[in-house]
Amino acid sequence: MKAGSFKATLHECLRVLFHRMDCIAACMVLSVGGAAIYAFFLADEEYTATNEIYITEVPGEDSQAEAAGTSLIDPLTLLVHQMKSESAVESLIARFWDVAKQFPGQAHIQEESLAHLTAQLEANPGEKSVARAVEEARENLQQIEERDKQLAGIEAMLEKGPDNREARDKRKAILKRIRQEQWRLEEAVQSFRESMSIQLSHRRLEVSYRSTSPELAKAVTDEIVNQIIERHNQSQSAETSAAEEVYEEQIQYYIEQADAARAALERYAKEYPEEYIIPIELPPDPESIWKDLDVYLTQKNEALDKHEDIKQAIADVQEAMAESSERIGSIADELLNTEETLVLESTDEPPPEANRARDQIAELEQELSELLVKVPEDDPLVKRTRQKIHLIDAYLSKLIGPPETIPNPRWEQMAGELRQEKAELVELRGREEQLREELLSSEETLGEIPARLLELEELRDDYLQKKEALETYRARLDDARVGRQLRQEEMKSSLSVQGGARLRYKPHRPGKSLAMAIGLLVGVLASIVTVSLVEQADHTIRSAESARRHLGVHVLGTIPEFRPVAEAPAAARQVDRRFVWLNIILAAGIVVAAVVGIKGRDFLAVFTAGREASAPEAAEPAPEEKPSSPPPTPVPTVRPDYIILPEAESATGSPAESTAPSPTQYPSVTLLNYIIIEKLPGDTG
Amino acid sequence: MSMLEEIFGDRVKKPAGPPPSQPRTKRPPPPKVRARDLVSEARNVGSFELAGGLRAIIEESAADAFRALAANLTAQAQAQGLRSVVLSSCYRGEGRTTTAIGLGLSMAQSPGTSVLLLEGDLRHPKMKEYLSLPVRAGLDDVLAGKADVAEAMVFCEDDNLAVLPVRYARSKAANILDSPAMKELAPLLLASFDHVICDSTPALSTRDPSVLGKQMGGVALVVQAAATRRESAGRAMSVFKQAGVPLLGLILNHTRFYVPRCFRSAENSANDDSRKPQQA
Repeated sequence: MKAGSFKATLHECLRVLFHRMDCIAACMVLSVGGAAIYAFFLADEEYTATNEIYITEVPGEDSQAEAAGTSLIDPLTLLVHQMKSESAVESLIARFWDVAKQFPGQAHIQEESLAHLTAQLEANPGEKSVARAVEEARENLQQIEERDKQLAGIEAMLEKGPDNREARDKRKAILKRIRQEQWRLEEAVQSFRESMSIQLSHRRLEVSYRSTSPELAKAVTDEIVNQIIERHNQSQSAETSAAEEVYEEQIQYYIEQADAARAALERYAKEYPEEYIIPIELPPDPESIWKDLDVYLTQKNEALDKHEDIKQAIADVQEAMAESSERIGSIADELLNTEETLVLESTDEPPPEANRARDQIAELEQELSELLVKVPEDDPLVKRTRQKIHLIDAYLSKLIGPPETIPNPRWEQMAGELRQEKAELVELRGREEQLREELLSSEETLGEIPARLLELEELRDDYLQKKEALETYRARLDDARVGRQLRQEEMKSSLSVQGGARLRYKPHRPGKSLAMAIGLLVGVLASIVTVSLVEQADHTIRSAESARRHLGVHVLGTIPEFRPVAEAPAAARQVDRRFVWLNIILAAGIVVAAVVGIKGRDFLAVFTAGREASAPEAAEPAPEEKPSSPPPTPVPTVRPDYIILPEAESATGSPAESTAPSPTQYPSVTLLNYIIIEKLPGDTG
Repeated sequence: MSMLEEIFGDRVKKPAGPPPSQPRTKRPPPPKVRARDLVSEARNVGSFELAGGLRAIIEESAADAFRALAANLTAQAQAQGLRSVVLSSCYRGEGRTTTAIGLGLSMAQSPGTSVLLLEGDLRHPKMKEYLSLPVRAGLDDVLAGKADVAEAMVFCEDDNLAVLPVRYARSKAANILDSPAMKELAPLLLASFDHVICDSTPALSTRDPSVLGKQMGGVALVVQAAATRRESAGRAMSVFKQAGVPLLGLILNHTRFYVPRCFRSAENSANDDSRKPQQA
């Protein structure tokens, strides 16, 4: 029975759908109609034109670049450019002045507009409105001048007499006017900024501008992009030349420094042409200096070595001398102890007298020594004793005879050695003296060397440093020059744009299609709610089942509706058809409402096209008059970047082909006026 | 409660006055009046044409529905031992008279069945207009004793259908219907015809249907589909219940088909077909 109950439910649903068609129709008509009205009058479909600047050379960090990117945009100037872009769209020529004349007190804008309008006037001299606008702009400029003069006069007056109340009030009023206008301008700039967005992703600057008119969005986007690139190039070239100047200055400075260093070295070489110092002649190649310096350094080291050698030699000699003198001493001692002649011992026995004499002599000598202790030398006793000894001795010698002597070879040898040693010593002395002299001179030399060396080394370091700096700065100079060249070459490619702005259709407020969809959905929901409420509230007996269910009474029969009196005989059958027709009419109404809502103006343009000739331009809410349906003319490209569409093109959008919003269709000028006036508040009157 | 009593007081009290007769479960006792064969006595014999081509419509488009209704009603009545039915409704204009005529025509089509279409609506008699009858005397005259029943009845030979219309509208209809004359007449009518279909008045505003129902047998409530509220039908039913009149059932009139036929499922179509107007 599931299927049966499902079928019954389905049938019930269908019954409700057709039975409550009035409720559903009311809900749908209300909501879809409301949505259509909203879409027709209120919904703005905004177009976002986006262009991308590809940054081939990032000047620094991304954030810096972003800051640079945003700082590149001078909103006020861009506002003027926006107005220019607007006027570039052919149908919007008057827009520029319309916007510009809202700021009669802004000299900048007035000048710009004067120039622009004058150009316009030259382009087509017959245009009366442009001529009038030129006049007005001139007047405005004059008024600004007068105002400034007046203000200056008032200031002067106030300086003289600060209590001038009238002047003060006047000044206050003028300043108030200026301030008000400034505020309005700021607001305009602010709203402009809001519709413009510049975002930096990695090496890509995305510029987009929202507008209700696709041409306007494109034109303004391209203008912003051009502005950014132009300004970037300007600032970049300025940066480059500034860097070059700095580099050049530094290079110059270091060249001077290096030259000064070289001159100092040369001067030094001239002033101290010592022969043991390698003459420092600075050749044009400073490398040779360092070679010479190295040679000098080796020589210096040699001198030092030599000095050391001398010292060593002196020490050796002194040592040798000490040894020699020692040896001389020892030899002399030995020589003293050694007999010059050797006494040969007599083999025969000496007479007893001799022995006695010897004893006597020994005794006498004993006595003498004892006497010498007691008495001085010249004591007669001593003399006597000595005579005695002498006599006895003489006697002894007579007695024994002179002893046989031979020269001592040892003595001889030693004496020879001594002589030799002495000679050697003398020689050593001489040598020492000589060495001492040498040492003195060497010390003298060495004393001079370190100071000069230091000086030289300092000079060399200085020179090296300066030379290094020189090279560095030369390299940097080259770099800077190369960089400048590269920059000049890449000036245009540093920020590159590929093609014109791409247009993206993006409804910012709920767009027409969205509004219609929401309307449809709300209609369906409201229908469901209403129908269920009505069904709940409906207590009538509709079917045999409901009667059975609610009253518990058997239903004997059901009689279909038929018209009893004066009706067509087939009326009973037409009961069904009525609801079918109602459905069809409702669906058609919804479709028509949707079409009118979404493509309202173009849709209506088809109908209003016939009235075009008679309709004056002043008709305010009427859509922009368009030729009925001219053949699609080729799109003339005024600038390579943005496309200026022929006015006629938008009129070709018939409801049949208007399903997809194409960028070639833009809302009428009146709507644009409204938007722009809304955008630049304060002067809505 | 007091308000309710005030509102419904008369309705509650009046049926309470006469004690409700016990529901009849058997065939009614044979009439005490002398037997008259009204069918054979019929003097006004002829065919009548329904106004506005009503007959054609009924026969063309609603014949099936009325046949089914007649069959159901007959079965129901026979189950309760009744041969007549009083058609009432909750309010005016719910298609009582039309249903009665259609039902009469449909019942009379079976051969050998005599059907009386009695107009019990003395307040707003419409039968003569609908059937474009040449009325010389009506039920009101019969009950007032001014005319004989046989004179008042119009008999249609083709259909075995007799019509007893009302000539002029009368006030105090309930009293008239409650009169002894009516009590005398009713058994005679019941005895003379196989089926008596009595067209009555709205049940919620008058007590005629109860009065008539008690004399004639059962009551069937004509309900206009998607117009009559359940509460009204319930109230009318309770009125009949209190009056002790057996309710044979509801007749759902004026039903519409909201869903176009192409959307109807086979089952529903089959269900609908019984009620559906027959295609010419």
